[in-house]
Amino acid sequence: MPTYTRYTDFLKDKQFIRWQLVPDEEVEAYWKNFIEQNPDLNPDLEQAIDYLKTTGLNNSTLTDAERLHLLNKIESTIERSVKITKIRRIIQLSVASCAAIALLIVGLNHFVFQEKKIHYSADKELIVGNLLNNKDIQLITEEDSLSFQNDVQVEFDKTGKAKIRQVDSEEKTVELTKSKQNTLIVPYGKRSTLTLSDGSKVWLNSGSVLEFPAQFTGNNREVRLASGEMYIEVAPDGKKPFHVRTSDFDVKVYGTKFNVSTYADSPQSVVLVEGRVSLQPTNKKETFLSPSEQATYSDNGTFNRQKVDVNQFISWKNGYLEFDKTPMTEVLKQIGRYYNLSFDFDNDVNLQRRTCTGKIYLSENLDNVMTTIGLLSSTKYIKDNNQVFIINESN
Amino acid sequence: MKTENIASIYNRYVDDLYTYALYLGFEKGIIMDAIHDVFCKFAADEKQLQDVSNIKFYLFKSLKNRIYDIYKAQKKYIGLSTIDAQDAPFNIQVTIEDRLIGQEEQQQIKNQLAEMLESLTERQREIVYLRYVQEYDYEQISELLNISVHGCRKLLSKAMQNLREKYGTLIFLFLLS
Repeated sequence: MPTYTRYTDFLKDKQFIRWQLVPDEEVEAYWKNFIEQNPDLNPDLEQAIDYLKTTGLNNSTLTDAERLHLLNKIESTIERSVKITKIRRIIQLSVASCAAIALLIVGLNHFVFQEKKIHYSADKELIVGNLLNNKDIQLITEEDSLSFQNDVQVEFDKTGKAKIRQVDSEEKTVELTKSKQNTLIVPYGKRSTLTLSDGSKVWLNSGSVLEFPAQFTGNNREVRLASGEMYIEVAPDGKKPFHVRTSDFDVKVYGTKFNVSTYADSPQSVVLVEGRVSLQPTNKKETFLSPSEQATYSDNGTFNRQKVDVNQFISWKNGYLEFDKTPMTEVLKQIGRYYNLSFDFDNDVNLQRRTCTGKIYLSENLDNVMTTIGLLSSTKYIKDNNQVFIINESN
Repeated sequence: MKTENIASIYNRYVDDLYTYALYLGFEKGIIMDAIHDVFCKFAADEKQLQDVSNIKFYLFKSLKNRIYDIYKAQKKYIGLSTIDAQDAPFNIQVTIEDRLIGQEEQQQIKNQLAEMLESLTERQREIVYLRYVQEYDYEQISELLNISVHGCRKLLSKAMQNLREKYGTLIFLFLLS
């Protein structure tokens, strides 16, 4: 019998391929027996099956640029045809009788009048954001607790020593060799980067808590994202698998770049940029993710996978946000986390159903950001002390 | 009303659609045009959108129809005879990329997989792809291939037989050892 140590060993096996291409009773029985006898090989077997069907036999050679170009073309054709239909309707209407037109005008007036009524009820067409008090970034170790007012860059070297660099401030070196469990708390309105002792690089978004050891001593490398969002570029190490744990699932890494988002007020998701990861909800089967795929976690403990434009999910680490027909509520949630603003979505107003398409640079100045949002979503904003009001452009 | 916008449906299925058409032997330009037309028609026809329980299948079927239409129109223009869908090629491009194993090993896996696929006929490869990679049922496959459900079963069992004859004996060696 061949020996299997990695999923690729299955891909070398003719009987495995035969089973996956067109199973007959014989191979089916053989592999059923194999799974029962070798339960420990099941993850690799699952990975081999998944790899064969998603990549091996079904690998798309479309580039991201080609995919996007075609979508733009489709969307502009659709838009044009909608306009043509509208014009046709107008022509049809114009040949109708005077009476009908008169009736139409009356009808239109009525419509416009009703529209106006909704527009002018100011308390409805308004989204209010409150600026909250800023908190400090905290690094809690077993021995000490450090606070920082500005965004920090924390860098661990192989020996577990940490260098901490604060924006506009002097560098600080801290010895954390003995500290097994450290916690980095990044409140809303702040960001941090963290280099782990193995060289893996982590970007922590606003409102995130990450637990990690100063050094990876065991056979595993493991960090825990207790809340919020992180992007990570894992340093390859074939001998020590890397795990990112969250409260609901485990991301097992096979040398890679990906984003994990676990905010309480948005769906939890993992977006893979490069390489390969598997996702395992607590006590459930693992799912594999291919590059440019997003897996969204649903409350019943399963993941839904879909192809996405990865840039939209990781652009925050480069200081901008990218949106494509993203609902206003989601845009404001992200902006709110970044600038520590709490937007109120309790009143269900039409403004919330607007969408936003384009890039927003996350500048120091909130006014710049709110102006960009206004341009992208046809809204206006008014800032008053600690509050931001978003209103209709035409008001 | 539409529950999803075209962009998200497009993003979910465009790779599968493109790959399928490529395997059918069409050129990139024709495929891109056909995918464009399929999505525009899909967007225009909202009534149809409501009735379609399986969007992916609807898109596959529309793409196949559209691409043969474009192909036939072009060939007629050039003055060549049109090809029959039954004789169309179906070539699965095998991809093995894993940075943790060597180039040689990747090539070895790739070659063997390609060789095994080579032992099937064009239509057998297509049905294997539709049944086990895209996971369509016999009714859907029969519509896509334009043959009866019975014909589908026969085609698939023929593929099974081919693979067993060529590669099946090894299994007894495993069981004995």
